[in-house]
Amino acid sequence: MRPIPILMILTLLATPALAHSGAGMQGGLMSGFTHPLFGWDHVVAMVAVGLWGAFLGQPAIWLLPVVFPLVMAFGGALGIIGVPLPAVEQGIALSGVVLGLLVALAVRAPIWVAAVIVGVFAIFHGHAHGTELPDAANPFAFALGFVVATGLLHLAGIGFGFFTALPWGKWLVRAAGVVIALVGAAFLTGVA
Amino acid sequence: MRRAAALIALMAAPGMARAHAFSAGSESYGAFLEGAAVPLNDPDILICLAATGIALGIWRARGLPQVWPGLIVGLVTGLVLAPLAPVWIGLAALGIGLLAAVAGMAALRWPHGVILALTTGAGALAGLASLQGHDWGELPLAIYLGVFFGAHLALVLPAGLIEASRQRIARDWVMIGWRVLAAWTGAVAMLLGALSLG
Repeated sequence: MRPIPILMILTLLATPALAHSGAGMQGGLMSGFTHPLFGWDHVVAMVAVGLWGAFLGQPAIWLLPVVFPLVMAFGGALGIIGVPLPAVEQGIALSGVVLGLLVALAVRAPIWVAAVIVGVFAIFHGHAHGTELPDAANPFAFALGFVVATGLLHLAGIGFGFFTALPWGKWLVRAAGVVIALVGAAFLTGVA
Repeated sequence: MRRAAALIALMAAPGMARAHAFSAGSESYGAFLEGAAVPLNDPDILICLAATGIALGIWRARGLPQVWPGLIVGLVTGLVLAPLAPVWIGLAALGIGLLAAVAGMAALRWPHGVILALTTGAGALAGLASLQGHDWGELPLAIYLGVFFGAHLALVLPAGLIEASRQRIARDWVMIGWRVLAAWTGAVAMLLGALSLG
């Protein structure tokens, strides 16, 4: 009998779920902000962009995070207007593997190669977000929250990447790259 | 063919969409505030002007005064011709905002003419989009003045902040930060445009 009164109390206390159906300015902002934060496959790839930029040094440290949101928004726009893109989820998982390995191996690619790699993966990430976009969100607030959250994830990666200035920091960042690659592999193989 | 015909009909029917309704009536100060709020509250116009301001600030030191006449001419022209503006003018403003964001993000040594054209275009589209759907003589002068003021605020504020930071904090990361902001503004413009179309 006890579970029933508890259940009734919980039912009375229930509040509407606002995670992906935010209406109005605040709801749209929160919905957009939290969208890139859902899903480890997205998060690790975006942090990896910042980490790799830190490894590549100037000007990549700022160029990659500048390129990523804009190209990701382009991918998002394709998703919103319904342009199909094949193997989106695989592309996202692969981005974690590739970017993680690039960090783990401390690969110093030419800046244009790095920009192309990051740009291609950004389209996959953006497309996935674009197709999952909630209808009820305030468009401006959603776009603002979405871009800011993406940018902050890059900044987190760059911030963590500053450890490369320390003697032991390079190994720490490279170890983070291994973790990112493993997370990507888990999504790619369907384990996660 | 039907879709194309419908699109053409839509584009040829200015004045149908009352984008911004005004209610202050003959009270001048209220009308001025209502007008000023339009460029600051409409995301399409705000992004168009703010991105242009960011691009101007990044472009060169004291960049804004060099192209300010273009902004004024564009804005006045846009406000005067607003009754002729089609319903998709907000999307066009967003498009020029995206161009300005890319120009700011790239931070190249853009020729004076390019930036002047960008600023004039941004001013014109902001003026057109702000009063689109309202006929000549329908609105009091205070609303026109308010839009003119609000549009300046949206553009001059970011340009001025960048100029101040350029003079007071002479570090590389400061301008990089503004370029990142330009990229973010462009990304928001792109998503917003797609959401408008989607």
